[in-house]
Amino acid sequence: MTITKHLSTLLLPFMALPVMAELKPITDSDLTEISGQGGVYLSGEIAINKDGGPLWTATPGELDDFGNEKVYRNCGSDESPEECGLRFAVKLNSNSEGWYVLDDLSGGFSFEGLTLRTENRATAIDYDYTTDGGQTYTPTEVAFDKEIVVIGLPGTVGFNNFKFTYAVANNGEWGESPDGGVTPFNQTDLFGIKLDGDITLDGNLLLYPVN
Amino acid sequence: MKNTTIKISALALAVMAQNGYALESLDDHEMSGISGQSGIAIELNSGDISAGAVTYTQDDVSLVVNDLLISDQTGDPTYITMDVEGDGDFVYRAELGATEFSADSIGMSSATQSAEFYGIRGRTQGYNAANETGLGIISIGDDGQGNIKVDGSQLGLFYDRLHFSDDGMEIIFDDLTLSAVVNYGRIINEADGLLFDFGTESNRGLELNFDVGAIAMGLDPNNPVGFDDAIPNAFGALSINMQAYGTMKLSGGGAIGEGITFIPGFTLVNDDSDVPAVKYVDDGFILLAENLTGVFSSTGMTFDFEEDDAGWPYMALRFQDLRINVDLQNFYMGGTEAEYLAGEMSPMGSFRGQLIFEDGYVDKVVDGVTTSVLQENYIHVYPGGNYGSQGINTTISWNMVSDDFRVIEVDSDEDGIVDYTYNAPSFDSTYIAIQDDGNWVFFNGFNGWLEGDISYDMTRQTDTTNLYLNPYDPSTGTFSDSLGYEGQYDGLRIEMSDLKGSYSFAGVSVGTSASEDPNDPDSAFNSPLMGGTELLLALEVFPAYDFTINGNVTVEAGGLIGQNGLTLNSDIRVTDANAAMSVDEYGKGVWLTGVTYDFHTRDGGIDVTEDGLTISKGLSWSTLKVQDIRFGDKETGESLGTFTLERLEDGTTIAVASGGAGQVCIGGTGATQGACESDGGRFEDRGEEGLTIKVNFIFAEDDGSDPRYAGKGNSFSWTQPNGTTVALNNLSTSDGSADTNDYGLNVDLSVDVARTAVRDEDGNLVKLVNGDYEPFEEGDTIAENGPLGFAVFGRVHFKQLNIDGLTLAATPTSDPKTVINSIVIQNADIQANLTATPIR
Repeated sequence: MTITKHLSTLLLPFMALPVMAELKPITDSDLTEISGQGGVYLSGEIAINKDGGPLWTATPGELDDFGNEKVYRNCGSDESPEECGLRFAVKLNSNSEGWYVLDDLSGGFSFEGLTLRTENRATAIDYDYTTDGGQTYTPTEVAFDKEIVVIGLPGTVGFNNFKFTYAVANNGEWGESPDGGVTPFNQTDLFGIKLDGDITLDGNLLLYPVN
Repeated sequence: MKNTTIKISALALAVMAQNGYALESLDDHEMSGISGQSGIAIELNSGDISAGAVTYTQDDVSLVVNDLLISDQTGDPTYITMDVEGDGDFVYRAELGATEFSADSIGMSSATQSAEFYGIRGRTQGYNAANETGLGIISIGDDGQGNIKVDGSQLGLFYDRLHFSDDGMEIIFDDLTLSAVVNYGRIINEADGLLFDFGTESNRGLELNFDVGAIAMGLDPNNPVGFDDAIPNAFGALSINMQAYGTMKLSGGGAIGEGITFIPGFTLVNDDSDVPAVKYVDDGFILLAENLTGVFSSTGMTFDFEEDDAGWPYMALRFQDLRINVDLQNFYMGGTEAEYLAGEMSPMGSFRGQLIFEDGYVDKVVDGVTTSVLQENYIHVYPGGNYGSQGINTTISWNMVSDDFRVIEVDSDEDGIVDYTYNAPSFDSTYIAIQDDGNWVFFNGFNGWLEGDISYDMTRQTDTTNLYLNPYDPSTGTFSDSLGYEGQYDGLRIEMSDLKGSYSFAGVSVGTSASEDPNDPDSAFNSPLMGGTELLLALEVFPAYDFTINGNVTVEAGGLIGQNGLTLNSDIRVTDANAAMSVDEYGKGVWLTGVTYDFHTRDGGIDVTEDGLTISKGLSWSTLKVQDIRFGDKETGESLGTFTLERLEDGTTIAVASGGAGQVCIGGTGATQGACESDGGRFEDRGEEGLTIKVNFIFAEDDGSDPRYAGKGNSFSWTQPNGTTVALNNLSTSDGSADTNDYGLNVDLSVDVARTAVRDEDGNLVKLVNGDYEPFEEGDTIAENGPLGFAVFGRVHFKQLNIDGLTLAATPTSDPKTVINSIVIQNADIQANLTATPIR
């Protein structure tokens, strides 16, 4: 059975429940019934470069985990230096000289109560459901009876200094000339984003197997 | 068979009757008066003793020692006294002289076939009064209840060298001490056999000691290492000191015909704070186990000599059941012995384990059909090996079991109606447990079986062609039948042939106690089973796994770091594998099925260092090909398609150290409680104990400069069931703009058991009271009252990761289109600090 061909090339076709009336959040009483089926309740945080990174430092002379000196790069100002975050650079086309860059990506988000488990679903929505040979599609609940991965969202997620800068550059490696020194390294920061504070994430994320 | 000849060339025998001035007849009265004062002393210079063959036969199958030679090289005599002591005990005491001995081979023969295990040679030192080696005492008396008393018997031997040889290549034990002392021993004659009684926990009957200064290898058959030669690089020094008590029953008759049946019910223990149970020293750094107990019990084990259908002889050890309980209070890793003695090292924590072997039915895939098959427990040991004329082959079969989990019914409001149920581990469970700063984490409900052939041969590298073959062809996506290099390496080759097995865990549970009392609400046995092993996937530890293994690991003495340790070379292929990424106790989860994992290691090694245990992968390349990623059941679950992961690593290391995450700040930054909380974070101190594993991947790139890298690389591709293929090509690490690749991609995992924040549906923090969650009361804190969880602090950090593009193809064989030409990720330090608790 094909649940959704429209989404079949997506890596993991999952959906946040509040916007999908058919995929109901698991109620507390449902949760009680499936209690103890090997799932886990996770608390903690996921963070990127919360204490700086291994390549760059804003404090000259600082050493990495293996005792080698880091490269100096300051993502703050001269008056208040700041450790740089992760840099993610992609070049789409081999003929292109430009790189798209997410630079100085850092910060974390913490949560209490992200749950992970597998669960059998008796029915699912078939988005390929058609009664007129493909003229129209009517998403319809059909028998499914397969396991899905259920990610129970934690309710509140706290963002802690989560930030990044969107930029374009002429090389993927920061500070390196793209042509061995002829052209100097050049990067233009377009905008930056910073997130602090709590957001609410309720409901469940369901991962359906699709072929 | 050769004629047995025993030559005793220079026998000097002096017999002196002590106190026997006159040879007169004694009357009964006088006899009773001098009881215990008589005895004989023998001074023996044995010279050379040789025997063509010494055999022991059961059911027409023989164990044969060929060309045995015992030589009294030094002229040291052996002094033997035999005496009846005042209490009526007969005491035979032999103060041994120094000897050299050898046997060309120890093997087995049947009526039609014969083969050899290994040769043996060695040199012992004579009697040493200081450490009581070179001494044998047999003391036999009556315990007054009709049983034979052997209290006071002992045997101590010191070998300058003991060599085991396989086709001329040797494993060498240097400065080896073996000793056994019987403090309390009774031999009780029962109707169906003999019962050996070695006392109780408060009256421990046996003291056992094994101590070896170095274990080394001599790999040149033309230049064997002499007893006085310096030894080459060694594995290190090892000593084991244990006491034993309990019983062992022996009766005649094996599983088939003649043989021996024995029923163990004994305990090995060392709770001596001055002498460690096990100590291994590698270049001055130690692995040390303190306060160790092992309990062994079975309803019967049999030992037989048998022959197979082709007439090949073997020894068979069988047991329908066996239970082993191990309790290790303190385990130290890394650091020097001086630091340990000065109390400057913290232990890794306590460990506990229970292994239950039982014959039983298991599901196996036979000719493509899942069938229930009786899985027995045995080991068959054949002489011969797979290389040369000597060596050892074993055929093994075992079945480890756990009872089903218990369903616990909870009546929170005590109204007589069950409010909810949860699944808790069984007490009769095969498990491994770790205690970390007083808290226990149990990996419960292990069920597993294993069967196949493993051989052990000493081998020597003579051929270096095709040493770096990659059996995987990326252009066709297939593996060649050859496992790669078909020669041998230097060292002990452990070869696995169709070694099939399967294991699964019911789950993880945590508690502040490990009590088996069902009414103890704090016991990890009474906590709900949960997932959590998923957090260890980065270490390739799967919660459940079916596999078939072919290939070899060759172990050579001498490490990569310092002189001591182990060097490893291997070519291994795992086929027909199903690995669970996440699975519940019903076997449902996310599975990788139809997995082939082909991997190769050149000059890898294992060393103990200042920081702990370091496993080096040397130059290694591997291909992991997954036929299906399945949701739900491993056989019928829906498939998400196939993926292939190719890796080429040069210098990857895995370091295991004691100490967990220590102090962490969750949701903020700050090294102190004050700094963390002022940044809005929650400070957690996970204590000094725990476990940290650091994997330092060095991904190499085949840029044509190193011929060993040819045809290998790092890439990932995923083909969906409709054929669409996404690929990440040529992943490699580097040190930023520096032209080096030392930092690599690091995965650090710290494992602890720690208290954490759990909230109810209304968002209130809760604590565990008598197995049930209740809201926090005034003054409760997460650090003091939060529920216990399995805490894993994972960190991935690297200076630079380069990916030469992301491509997309309509089918696996069609021309891939470039979606992204290049990806560069720099300065990454990604942390996941997660604590798993059960869903209730």
